[in-house]
Amino acid sequence: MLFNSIDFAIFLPLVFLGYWFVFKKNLKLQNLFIVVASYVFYGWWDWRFLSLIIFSTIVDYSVGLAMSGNISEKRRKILLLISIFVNIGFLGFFKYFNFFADSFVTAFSVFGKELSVTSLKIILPVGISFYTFQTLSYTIDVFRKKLEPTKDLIAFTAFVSFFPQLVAGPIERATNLLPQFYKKRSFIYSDAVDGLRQILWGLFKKIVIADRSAEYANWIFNNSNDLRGGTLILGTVFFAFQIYGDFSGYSDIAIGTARLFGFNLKQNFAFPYFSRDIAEFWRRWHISLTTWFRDYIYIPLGGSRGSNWSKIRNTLIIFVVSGFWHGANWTFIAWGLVNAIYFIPLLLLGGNRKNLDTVAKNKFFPSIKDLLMMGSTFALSLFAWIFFRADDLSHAFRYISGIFSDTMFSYTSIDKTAKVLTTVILIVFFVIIEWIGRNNKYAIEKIGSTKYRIINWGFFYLIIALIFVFGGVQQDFIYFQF
Amino acid sequence: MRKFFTKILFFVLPIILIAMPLDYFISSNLKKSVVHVDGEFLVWNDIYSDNIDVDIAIYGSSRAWVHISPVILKDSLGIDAYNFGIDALNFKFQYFRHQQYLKYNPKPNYIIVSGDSFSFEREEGFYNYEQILPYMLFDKDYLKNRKTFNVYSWFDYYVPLLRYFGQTWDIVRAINVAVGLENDPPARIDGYMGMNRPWNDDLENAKDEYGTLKVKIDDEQIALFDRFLIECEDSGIQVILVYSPSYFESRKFINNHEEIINVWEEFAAIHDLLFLDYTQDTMCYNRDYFYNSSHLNKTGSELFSSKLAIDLKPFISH
Repeated sequence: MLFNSIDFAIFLPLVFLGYWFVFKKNLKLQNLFIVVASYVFYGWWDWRFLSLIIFSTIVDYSVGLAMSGNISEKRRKILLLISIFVNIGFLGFFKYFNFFADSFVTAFSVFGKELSVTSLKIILPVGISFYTFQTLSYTIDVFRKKLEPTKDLIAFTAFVSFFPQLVAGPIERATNLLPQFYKKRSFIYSDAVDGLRQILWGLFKKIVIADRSAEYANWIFNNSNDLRGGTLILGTVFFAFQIYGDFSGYSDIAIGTARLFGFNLKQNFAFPYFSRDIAEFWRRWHISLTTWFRDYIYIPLGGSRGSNWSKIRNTLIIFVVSGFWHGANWTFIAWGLVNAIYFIPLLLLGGNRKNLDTVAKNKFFPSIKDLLMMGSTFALSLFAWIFFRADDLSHAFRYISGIFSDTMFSYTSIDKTAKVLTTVILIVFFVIIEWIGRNNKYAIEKIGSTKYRIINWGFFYLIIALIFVFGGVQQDFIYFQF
Repeated sequence: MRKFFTKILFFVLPIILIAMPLDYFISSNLKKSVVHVDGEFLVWNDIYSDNIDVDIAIYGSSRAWVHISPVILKDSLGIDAYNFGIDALNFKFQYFRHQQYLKYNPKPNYIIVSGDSFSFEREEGFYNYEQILPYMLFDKDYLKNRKTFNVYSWFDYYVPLLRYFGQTWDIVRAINVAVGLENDPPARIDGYMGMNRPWNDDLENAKDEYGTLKVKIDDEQIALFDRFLIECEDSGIQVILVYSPSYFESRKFINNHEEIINVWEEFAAIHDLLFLDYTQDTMCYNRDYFYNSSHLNKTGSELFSSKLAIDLKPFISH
């Protein structure tokens, strides 16, 4: 079920009413109701793949329980490996089987050996990369004794399948979300209003910014061979706003929806396009995944301690794995590598933790220096997005050579000027609102909560009107494919 | 909780109250547009305002729309005609328009069905889907045919304004009409529009993209067309099948062109209908009459309409 669909517009109020009116008095029933609602939400897409979630849930719940008590370290490690094997096994099969099979064949063909490996018609279950990482965080934290294993199967099932963030995150840690299922939730008016506000902003990002940008980004990337450099640059800008609006919009809707039910999820995006260097960008982009990799891979590898070579190795590993997490394509790996290349000099020169605070804090306008730094970081991210969006590596390289050609400063018309300009104006409006609200958890957190109701409501009506009039052609959420 | 629901109610109430008047404003102005969506509103408006009392109705897709001039037929044959050609849509859409036409207007004596390669092809999309926006709300006929109009959901037929969600340029067009900014001449006259266009690259582009194309004939469309012919026979409407000229090279591009013509010939034979086939006409070999491989330009369509009128004369009674 898509957040931006009529189905969800009916589903959400029904679940809300059931949750707060029918099952409010019994925590276990309330949690069970969340599980049922979440399974309906997921099964709406394809009920067959519910079996994967259920299996994963049972395995990790059992592994967690088996780790409790006085058992040897060796047995705990075996249990952890079982959990990793099952979860990564599912992920590997559904997401990477064909990639490895094809790459294997290609590698052998280089040496003149023609292999025949059958590609399987595998459907990628929606959200598999998200919920496997979420359940893995539970078993790893239990293994590390950071978390007591739960005996409450319903709470654990609700934690794994919680519908607001089931298919595209934020990837929640068991230490944050699971305890919230143990406690009675009470309805807090200000939280619910805040949730609705964040949902509204998420819908604006997705429906207006992402879906409108997608129309042009898709067209430009699909026809890149015939277009001039200036248009190709525009294509990457549209894609940058498509992916940001799409994914951060989804996260806003997820977080806002969870708040309606009395849950607090992690912030997943913190205005990444206002970053002054690439390290700051990565602290602000897809935070739940970045911190997951940091805590479960980067730090265990040694992190930024040790020799320069180990720092470089760890950074390369983390970015390549991060790229590969996004999809079974060399383009994602290249995207990870490009970001690693951006990041390593900062790390080696000790500049990776220079810009920790919000840019131009307590000021309205940024300094020229901040502006230049933000601009250059954005330009670097644009370059990297080319790899992320391209169909394959050769497409990416053709696209780049198309940009850096003698047509770099000329433009091929892609649509009626009024239509393109409308999208550009909407993006500018969006960037201004994001800039104004950059000190908050989401851009309109404070804009829509002044003491003057007429301003608040007027602003919300404006956003609703913009969504209504300028909503783009409905597109799937990009991160569903991951 | 009560406060929450009260506030939600107060917030949503103005939206609910404004939805119907706003829907009316957009719909009533949008349908006044004489150029939007290739002028399809002009035809729908004529149908729904009981405006069409003609002897000859011309059906088909874009090839009907831009090939057959009702004015020329009227001048030659001395009887009224109207062109119902609906751009880029196959027979199931043409049939819906036919049903609406007969529901609101007197029936014609003759229906000329203009054939093309894609009349009986299965069609998943709905080109110019905006053309039904102003008419579909609470309309049972549209709802009954909602599988045909598959881009809309059930809610679009019942919830005011919902179907205009994201229709930026339709809303802008409605506002333009309302404030008098649309000053273009009508895109159609009696449903027809001659295209004053030079030859374009459509055929070359299509060849580059597809090489050749095989049109898959859909059994459902065939069955529907058969039903249509029987219904016309039952109600005393004489159907004439016409396959207007197409540029000779398009016959090479559509590699089952003969099969398609055979389908039309079979229909003519089974239902004992007149079939006028112009696919070998001399016009087909002169590119000056076309703006692309399957569409005549204004000069070509006027010449063709005159030829058609002459060929029809022996079969049309006053």
